[in-house]
Amino acid sequence: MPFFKIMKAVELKNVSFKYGSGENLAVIKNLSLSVEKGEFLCVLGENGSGKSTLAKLINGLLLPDSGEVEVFGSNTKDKKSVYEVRKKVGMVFQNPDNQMVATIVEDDVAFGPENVGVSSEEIGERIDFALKAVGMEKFRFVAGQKLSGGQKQRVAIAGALALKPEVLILDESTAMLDPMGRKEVMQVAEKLNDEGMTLITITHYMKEAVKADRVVVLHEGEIVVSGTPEQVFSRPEDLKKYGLDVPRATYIAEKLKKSGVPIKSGILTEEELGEELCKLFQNR
Amino acid sequence: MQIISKSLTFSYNEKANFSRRALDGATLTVNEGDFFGIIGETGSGKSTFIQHLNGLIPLQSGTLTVGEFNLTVPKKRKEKKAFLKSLKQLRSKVGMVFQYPEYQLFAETVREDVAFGVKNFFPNASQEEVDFKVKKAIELVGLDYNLVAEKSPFDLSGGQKRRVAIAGVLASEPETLVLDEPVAGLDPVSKKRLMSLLHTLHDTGVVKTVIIVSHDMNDVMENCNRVAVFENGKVVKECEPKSLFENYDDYALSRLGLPVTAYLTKTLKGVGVNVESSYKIEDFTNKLIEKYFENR
Amino acid sequence: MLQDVTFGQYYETQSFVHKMDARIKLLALILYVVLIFVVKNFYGFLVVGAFLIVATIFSRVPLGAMLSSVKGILFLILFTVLLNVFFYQAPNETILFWVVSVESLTFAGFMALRLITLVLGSMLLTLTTTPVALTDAIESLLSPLKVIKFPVHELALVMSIALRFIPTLMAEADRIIMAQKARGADFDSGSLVARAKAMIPVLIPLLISAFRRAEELGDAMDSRSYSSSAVRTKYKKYRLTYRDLIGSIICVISLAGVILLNVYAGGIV
Repeated sequence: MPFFKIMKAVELKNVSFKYGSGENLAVIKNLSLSVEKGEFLCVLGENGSGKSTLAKLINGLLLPDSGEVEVFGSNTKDKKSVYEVRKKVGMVFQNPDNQMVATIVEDDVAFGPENVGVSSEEIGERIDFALKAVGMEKFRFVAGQKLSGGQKQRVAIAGALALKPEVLILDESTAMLDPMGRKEVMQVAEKLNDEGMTLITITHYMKEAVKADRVVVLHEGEIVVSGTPEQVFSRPEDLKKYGLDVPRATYIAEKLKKSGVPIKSGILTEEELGEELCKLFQNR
Repeated sequence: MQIISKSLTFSYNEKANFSRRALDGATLTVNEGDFFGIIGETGSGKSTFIQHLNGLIPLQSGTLTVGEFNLTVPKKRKEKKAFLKSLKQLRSKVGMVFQYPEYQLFAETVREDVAFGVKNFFPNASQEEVDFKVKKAIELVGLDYNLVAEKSPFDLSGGQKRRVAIAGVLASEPETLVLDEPVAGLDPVSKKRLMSLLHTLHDTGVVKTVIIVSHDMNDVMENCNRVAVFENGKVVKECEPKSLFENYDDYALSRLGLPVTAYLTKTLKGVGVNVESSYKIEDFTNKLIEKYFENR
Repeated sequence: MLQDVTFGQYYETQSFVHKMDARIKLLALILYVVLIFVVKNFYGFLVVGAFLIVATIFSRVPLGAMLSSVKGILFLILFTVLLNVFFYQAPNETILFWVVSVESLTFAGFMALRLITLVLGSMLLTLTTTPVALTDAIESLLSPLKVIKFPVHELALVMSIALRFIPTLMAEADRIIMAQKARGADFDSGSLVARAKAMIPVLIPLLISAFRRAEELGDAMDSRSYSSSAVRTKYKKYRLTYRDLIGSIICVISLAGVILLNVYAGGIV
């Protein structure tokens, strides 16, 4: 590898994967994708588009039938480096109830570092740091069962952070939460990204894609749309075809624009839309 | 049928010292023909409330009538027995679709699973009658009977599974359909399809009343003709969706997040522009356009 | 409802007993059980009772939580009492009426006390010790077995995960039962066979759900670098403190007290 080449955080090269056998079961078809260090990538896709499979391919839970998956240069196919990959890629799953190994919050966060042989003193420090990072330090000795969905998912993020990963994948981690819980989890994830964590979120909530650096839309195992949120959400017809939608604010803005209201393009959030509308009405 | 609940109060573990009050005097009326929305935070009592509607949870205090049916549990032993027996009849009239209903599927084929309710509620029905009802229900939820009837429900996609589960409730021909978070976990297009399916069932009179429980303000605003807001086991507001946000500072509402239309109305009011908050996003956008071009 | 069963669930507080080493508490429980079975007279139970009272006070566990356990086995206690009242026979009985004698009543009371103190003692352990600490303690106490390649760690992990998922699966069962009831299922009437059959629509979804959860948990564990062969460390280092010493002394004194009373006060009085 040339010395000057910047190493990608995640790199998928012509990856194909299918469960079982049969002709039409391919879930990931010849997919190539790379994620820069520190990037916030959002993967959108309808149910069954292959987005969760993609996540599992990245941290080596699944191995590609063909093609290569590399995380900071370590190939997941390499039996020796797959543990390195898993240390580097923290993953949070959908169901908040199915990820906790231990009953008490701190014991659960300790699980990862225990697995890789971190000393007891350092595990203590890592629990401090990880729970603080997700704002759950007050709940250290609480039983996970007593937490709300959003809090459980924050503990799950802490559990991943305790392994000091470079990449954090949220695999539909907000799907089962209420609006408050979704907000909590997304705020934590965005904060971590601001501090330098490479973030990959997999979701079908359009709202969660608007703050991403880049959005890719997955459909039947292929990337069909890719670009900044502004670019992606300016194609509502395409999105609909792939089972998706645009954020409500974008929908309203586009409709206003079509009727001749001189509103700027690329509005993604309600806040932006509100601000823009106020300006428009005042300058009318 | 009309549903009238007065001061409904319910505690889990009523007698234990660690009991938790889930409902605390919930008063609410749902009229026949409503597409009713129940909204509230997790733990506000909305699920406990709907589980009262078909007697899954016994009444502790307050009164509840569902059509002709009085849900007060009789004290006398004999009457209580008759009451418990009659619950079955009530359950056939008030269809209840739980959160993630696909997790209750169990039979080997879609047909058998959908028939489960029919056979329970109409034990004397002939095989032809059962088959007829099952076929009708599967078609009502927009699935192709010939394609799915003999398939295992576990081989279907997530959205299809949910439809099968709903068919399983529809098959016993309920008058009122209650759904707890019916679109949870679905992608935007499946979500829209399911919502419009519910509207079709309602508009064509397959079910007279629909009650949906949700914590998504936008869903409720865009779909319901009446809304009740639950907070700490009480109904703090019961109104038409468009009047829901007349008082923006309501704690429960602000925690649930304003729907986009109400948010914009509020923001524009701040700069002296009054746009009537309409709950349908299309109507609202049209009003915005009208407002922008008026007096120019 | 199923999920409300709090039987012996960890009661969260930071008391003297809570802070004791789980291994000591486990050994103390074993000793305690021995104690209960060597007690020969009611004076012995005074010692056991005093021990329980002291332990409960120092555990700061509410009395209600302790006593709820007795309620849970009330039927068993009654059954034992009745059985002993009617079937216990002693030489030279003082018959009160029919087969009921002073001796059979005394013995029945004795057995009931034995059961109650047994449950209260075990309850105190589970109320003051997290399942994790308990499984860690078992793992630690069994660790000599590693020499013969016995999978001690795996066993402990399986136990703690099982404990962790009990409430989750209870809640799930509750939900499924409700959902099937809403579809007209009847779990409360009919013959035994009919009732067993009625459980199928509950058991199948529950089983499927358990498998789904297991799969997700497996993925979650894998992605947190779990591997049974790896060199694991433990976050919690259990060190014996003055508390454990005091606790052990109290246990030993109680045992000695009971034995002395057995010797000097004789059989059941």
